[in-house]
Amino acid sequence: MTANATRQSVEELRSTLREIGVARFEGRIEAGIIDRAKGEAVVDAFIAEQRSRPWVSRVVNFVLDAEESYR
Amino acid sequence: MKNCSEEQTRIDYVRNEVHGEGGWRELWAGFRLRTFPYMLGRETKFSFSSLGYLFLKVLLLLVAAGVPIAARKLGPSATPTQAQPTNGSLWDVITRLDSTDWALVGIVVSVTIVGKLADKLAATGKFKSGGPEAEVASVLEHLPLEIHPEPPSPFKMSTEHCKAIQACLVGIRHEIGKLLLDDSASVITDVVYLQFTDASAKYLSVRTRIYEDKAARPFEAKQAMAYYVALLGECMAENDLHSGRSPFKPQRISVPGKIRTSYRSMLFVPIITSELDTDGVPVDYCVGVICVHSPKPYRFWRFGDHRRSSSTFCNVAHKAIEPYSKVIRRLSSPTPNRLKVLT
Repeated sequence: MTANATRQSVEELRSTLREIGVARFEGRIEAGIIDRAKGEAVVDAFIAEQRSRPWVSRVVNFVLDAEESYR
Repeated sequence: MKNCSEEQTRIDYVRNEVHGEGGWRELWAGFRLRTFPYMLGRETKFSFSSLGYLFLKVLLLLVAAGVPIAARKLGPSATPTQAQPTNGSLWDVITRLDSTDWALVGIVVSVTIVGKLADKLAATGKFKSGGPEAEVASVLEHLPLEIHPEPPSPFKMSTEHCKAIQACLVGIRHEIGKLLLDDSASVITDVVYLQFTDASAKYLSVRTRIYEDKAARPFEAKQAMAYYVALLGECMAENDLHSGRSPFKPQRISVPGKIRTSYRSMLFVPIITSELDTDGVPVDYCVGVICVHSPKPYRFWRFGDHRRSSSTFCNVAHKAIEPYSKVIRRLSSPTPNRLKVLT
């Protein structure tokens, strides 16, 4: 199955992650169903995208020096 | 029949309201209860006085920027063109500003912002020391090298396992505190790990919590929101348990009596294990749920989350606590006490 998983394209993994969510995706990585290296790279990219702050949050932080949440 | 309908209502609530896209209602509530108090830099509710405070802060900045311009225009050294009266409109005043005026505005604003940046740089070291990593590492170090599967009943879990999970919960509180920019006990009051106590997943029990490592009495799983989180298998947050919109009563169910919860927002992180069925299709199971409690509403929410079906805060939090959740998953599985996630 690991060989099959290795063949999965990053795009497929990204689609799976959006469909099932981070918790189930991590569960499948830990179980060896999803290739660990590729899977974790996809999760990292997804989280980096999620961390980006909306413009309101940036403006508030810059002008009023009041952090709403994480960077 | 009534129970079935009630269960469906709860599933729909968790799927659509807790996990789903919140829209304008969530935006307004989140801004009022979370973003706006942070814009003020203090924990206050939305009120006229707080609005006045914000207005005053902006006004002070504008006045500071306007003083040098006024000095140039009205001072003894002002040229006749500079001192020429305007027709009274703000736009007319702005169009008459020359490059020197703009340079002065830039200097004042820069000086103000540089001060703020300096304060910010000084504050970045807040979480660099005093974290519980050393304590957690110490507990995990004493775990057996080969971690054995958990016994069928969580009440028979070894002391080392319990202490390790408890140490992980402390670590989780620290990580979530870092995301919230405040890890004080008043912001995150507790972190709880819930586990199923039977193979049919009808009962849940508090396996351990930060301040207590004894398992609590089992309770009917379907009473708890955590059960539906486990059923859906996704990280999510209940922003305001006391809003009156939830089909779940804001009462503690792990203890006898109808005690109102002291917490208003909850972050849920399900611990998922996966297997392949006979056809090679992945099947996911939830073996437990980590719950983070906060007495403040919309604590696990960030401006922009109302537009997403999956909360960005929850996903970022899941990643942040991953080292700890991995240990909990390793200690909790394999176990026959688990719930199959809905596909």
